[in-house]
Amino acid sequence: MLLRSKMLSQNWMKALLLPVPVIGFLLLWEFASRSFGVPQLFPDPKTTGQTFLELLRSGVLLSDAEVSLARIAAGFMLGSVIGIGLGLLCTVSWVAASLLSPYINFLRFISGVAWISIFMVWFGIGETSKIVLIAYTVAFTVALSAFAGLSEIKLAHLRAAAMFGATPRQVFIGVRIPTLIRSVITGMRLSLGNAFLVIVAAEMVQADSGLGFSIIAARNFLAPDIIFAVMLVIGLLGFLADRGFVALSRSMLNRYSR
Amino acid sequence: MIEFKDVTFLFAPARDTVPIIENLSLTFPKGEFHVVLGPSGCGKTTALNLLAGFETPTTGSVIVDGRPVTQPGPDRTVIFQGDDSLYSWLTALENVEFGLSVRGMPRKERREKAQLYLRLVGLVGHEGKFPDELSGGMKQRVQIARALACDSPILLLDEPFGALDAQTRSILQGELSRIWEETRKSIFFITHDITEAIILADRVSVMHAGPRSRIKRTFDIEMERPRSPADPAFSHHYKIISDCLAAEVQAL
Repeated sequence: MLLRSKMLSQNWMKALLLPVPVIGFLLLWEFASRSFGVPQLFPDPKTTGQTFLELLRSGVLLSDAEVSLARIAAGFMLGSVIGIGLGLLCTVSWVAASLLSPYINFLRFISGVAWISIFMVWFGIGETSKIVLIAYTVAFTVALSAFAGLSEIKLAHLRAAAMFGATPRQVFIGVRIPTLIRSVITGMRLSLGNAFLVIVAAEMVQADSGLGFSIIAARNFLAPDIIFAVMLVIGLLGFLADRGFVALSRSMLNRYSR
Repeated sequence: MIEFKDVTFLFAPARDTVPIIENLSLTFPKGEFHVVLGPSGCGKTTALNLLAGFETPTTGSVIVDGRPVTQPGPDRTVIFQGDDSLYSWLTALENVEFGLSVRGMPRKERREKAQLYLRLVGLVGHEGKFPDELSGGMKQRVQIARALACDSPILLLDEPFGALDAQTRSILQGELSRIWEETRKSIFFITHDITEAIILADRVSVMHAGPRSRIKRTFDIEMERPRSPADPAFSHHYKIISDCLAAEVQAL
């Protein structure tokens, strides 16, 4: 608590400092680009900025972003539902938890990216395979967080409920579910970031649209300035999505984020 | 009447051979403020957990009003050590209401009762705050409020003021003392702090150092409340209890 109130009072200081890393980054970039010496292969910030504006004006960037974000949104929602469902199942039934545990703990090491080719074979080369891919990675991360949260449930919380005379059902609703909600929120936030990583990889392997596809297309046309521009867009979108999620979860489910 | 009858407890009977407490016997009447004093690791928290019903004795039994304790219940409310027994997703008010809602008390009634007890422990204006917005002392007050709201005849306190600064501790000791005088509940309070024991207790039981611990000796504190360490009777009690305890601390 002390840490947080200290940080709050330094918020204005942090805001003041914000331009520093941004400007520093641009300077470093400019320096690196010049040292490399071949602007066609390592574009500087100015060229990249111009390319970015061009792509924006032509509408290509917007449509690519839309496509990628749509896939992420669909996969995220599907994966969250599955992950929450698994989490709930494990809360209700310790048998299910024991049975699922080895799968969750083993399969988590096989990243979604490894599944790309297989999912394409199973689900075709269209939208479905990519959405399934994202759902897979999201479901895992959310389920894992739920698992972790449930196993770390505080003994004092359970004992307090017991001393009040709570029935198992009351403990479930009053203690286990809130604990689950907390972990699920954390897991969902984490998985949103993962979703961005996975979709770009998936679109690089096979797609005809999307931000990942644009990177590959740009590579094929030897246009690193486009690659850089798209990378920045991906970073920005991911950042905004994360901030948006945090803001949303704070406003609606504030009590579970404490 | 609350009674520990020849209680022995092993944490893991399959693995351990040495019990933390062995043949521990202790009796105190209803309405008494009984403090158990002992060095670290002597098993006093274990004794509390057995009375609370969180653990069951390996041999022997804990008896309350003639009935053996087998599980936790609303007749024995615990105020835990530290501050993580409050529910972090509930406000102070909702935390106090929790025990009441478990019992099916209607919303309006429990809201009023919870507000009453928060007022009693001096937390007016803080009802809507979450535990992470409260200081250590305030969190302990919330614990006291939620315990009192349950109207349990027996309160169990596990070194509740240990993590607090000296001033807050002193204030809360005074408040607890006052609450006890008004309500005359049976209180089972454990601590390692001799001053705290003398300030609060009707009787103090000193435990041997663990393992295989049991009650060494019980002292009567016949002083008027509120008690002050400046009182000469206080230092007298302090000396005899301290000598009793010191032998155990040296044994560690």
